[in-house]
Amino acid sequence: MRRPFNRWRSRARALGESWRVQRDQWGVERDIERVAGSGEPLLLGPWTGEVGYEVLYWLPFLRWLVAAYRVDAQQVVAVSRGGAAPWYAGIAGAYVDVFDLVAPDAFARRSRALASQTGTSKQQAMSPLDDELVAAAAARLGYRPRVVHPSLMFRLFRAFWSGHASMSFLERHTRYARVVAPAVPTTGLPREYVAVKFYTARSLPADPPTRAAVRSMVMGVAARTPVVLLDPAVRVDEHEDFDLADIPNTTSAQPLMTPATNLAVQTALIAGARAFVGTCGSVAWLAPMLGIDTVAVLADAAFLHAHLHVGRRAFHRMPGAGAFSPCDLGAVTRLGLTVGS
Amino acid sequence: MTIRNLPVIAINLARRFARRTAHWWSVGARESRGITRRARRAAEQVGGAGGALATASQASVRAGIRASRRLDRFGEHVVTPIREERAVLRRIERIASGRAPIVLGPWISEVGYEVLYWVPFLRWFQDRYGIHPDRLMAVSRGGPSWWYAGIAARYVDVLSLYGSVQFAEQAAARRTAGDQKQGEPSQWERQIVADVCRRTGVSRPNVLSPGLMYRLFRHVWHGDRSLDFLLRHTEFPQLSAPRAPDDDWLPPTFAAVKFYTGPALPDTPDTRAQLRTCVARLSERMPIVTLDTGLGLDEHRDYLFGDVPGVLDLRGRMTPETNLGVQSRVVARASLFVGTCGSLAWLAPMLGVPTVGLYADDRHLSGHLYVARYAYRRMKAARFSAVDLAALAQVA
Repeated sequence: MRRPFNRWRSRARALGESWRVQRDQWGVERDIERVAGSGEPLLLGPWTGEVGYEVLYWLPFLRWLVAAYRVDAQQVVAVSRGGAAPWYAGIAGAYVDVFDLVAPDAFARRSRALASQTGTSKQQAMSPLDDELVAAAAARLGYRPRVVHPSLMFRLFRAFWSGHASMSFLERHTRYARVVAPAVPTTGLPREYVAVKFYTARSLPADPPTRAAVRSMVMGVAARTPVVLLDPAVRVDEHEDFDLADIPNTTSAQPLMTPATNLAVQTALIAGARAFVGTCGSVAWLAPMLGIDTVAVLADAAFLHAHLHVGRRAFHRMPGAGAFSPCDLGAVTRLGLTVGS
Repeated sequence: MTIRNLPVIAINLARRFARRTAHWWSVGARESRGITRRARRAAEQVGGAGGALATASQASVRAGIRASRRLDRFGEHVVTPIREERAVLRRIERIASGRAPIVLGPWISEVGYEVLYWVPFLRWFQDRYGIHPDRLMAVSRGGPSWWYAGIAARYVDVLSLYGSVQFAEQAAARRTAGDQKQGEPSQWERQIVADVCRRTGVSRPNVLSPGLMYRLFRHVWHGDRSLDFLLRHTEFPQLSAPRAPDDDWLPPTFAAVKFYTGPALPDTPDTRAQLRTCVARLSERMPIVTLDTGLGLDEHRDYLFGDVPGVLDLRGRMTPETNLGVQSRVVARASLFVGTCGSLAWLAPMLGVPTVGLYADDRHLSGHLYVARYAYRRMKAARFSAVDLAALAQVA
């Protein structure tokens, strides 16, 4: 008697869970439809979170949204930060940079405060900062558009990240495409180089062995090819850059960047590189979309499983994408290989 | 009606509800397409009647098209997989019911699918339906009987029934026929079950064929079912290998190495050179035991490193009937497993052995890596790292 009852109970629980996931998804889809299907001008954003989520999920989600709802790009304005305008080409006819609305220092300070208050840097709901940015953007545009806020995307894909929605669900709500880099003057940089960007993250902690391995790796790459370091002009989140500027044959790209242009400059520099090597996250997801072979370095894949799966599938299917090769530092060491040799 | 029947009644009602929902869903989808067509025609007719009216009808046509497409996609990606799941689970329930002995298998395809999906699925099957191991008989090949410990009380090896040459010929014929994954039970599989029954004296068993597991999980591999679905139909406990006196020759600390050719690690001069470098460097740190069998039972061929100093091998220590059992026992004793990302590389973390799986092409690996990493985390397995040879070429 107990076994059939347990089976029945667990089946009911599974059914209830599936129903909850479906109901949430339909709820978000209704919200998206209400905004995107309104026929009114749209504001996409403001995106103030991590670059990795923006590149791997937000942009493909927006590409799907404008295609699915046949939104005229001229009716759309994207709002992001740090000169990300080139990423939104083909999605939005206009772009407003957050750093034109708020000073970078003030933005960084408020973002950090918000993240420590909510416990996440993900835009799960419209924050007071987002409200201010939307109002400022609307004042600049001269009209009040409907807002497609990043929280819609976070709500829609939450079930996928937790393993409760399928890959095909994510793929039905995204369109992955090559990104075209802007033309940026690259005075003072070598003609041929490898672009490198290492920052600390949960997947690449700042402990001494990791620091030593990263340093050794960059020294090895620089011994073969000039290296351009993409250390940014401004830091708005909790990540820190690895200090690699003293390694011979490396050039910092920092003089080429301002807070308002840093992402555009990094995009252009990656697109012009022979390869990209860096922390698995952030622009490491962008580099293959620019057609550049990428080595994404990590020490702990625990928080990356779903993203690695998405990246692998997307880059394999994207015509002209660069090869995406994750590299586990621990595995390299266990194999007895010297990093950077 | 007794209280004992209540769950059965509830299940039957739920099934009837699911059947009716599916029926009305397909009717709704058909109707919605009809409405869209009619709306489009109406929009064409009123196209010239006035700007506002035309815009409104176009908007409703677009909404209709979107709804219709959404219904189609929902049917294809949600309703169809769920209906197929129900059909498979009904068959599994029928197999589990009653008191007849159950043959699990015969498993005659890839090792990777066996350790990552088939054995965890059988563990779930046994636990879910509360079947005593005495009722279950596992049938596999190459001596991995201890993988089935705790699931089935009896194990029969296919290679104890047929010679390895005949097995290899049948496996090659199956691959040529395009049945790499044991979809529907083949004539040969039915023959194996009949011979197993003759050998063991079992009559009229129920057969849980690997094809059912492939049918249940293929929507996960294709991306139409969630990871959660797979984890709800599998159980991943840590495994422990039996100790055998034959293994006393093994060094106290060593790395087990198994590199074989396949889609993940195609046989090219560059790959060979890189693997040789890895093995040579590793051998400077600790003794290496390579697990190449030289048996040629499947389409994969082993990369050989016999000329690298400090490398031991298993040749002469196994027969076709024991090869997988011996290899996996050696893996369980190792301090590190390094090999092609596939096959025994999926098993090693379950045995508590840190593992590095190397690949040159992850096109067919992505889904399995996703599953394996979640499963390993859930079962607190040893660390598993997948490394792309292209990355090693760049940075090591």
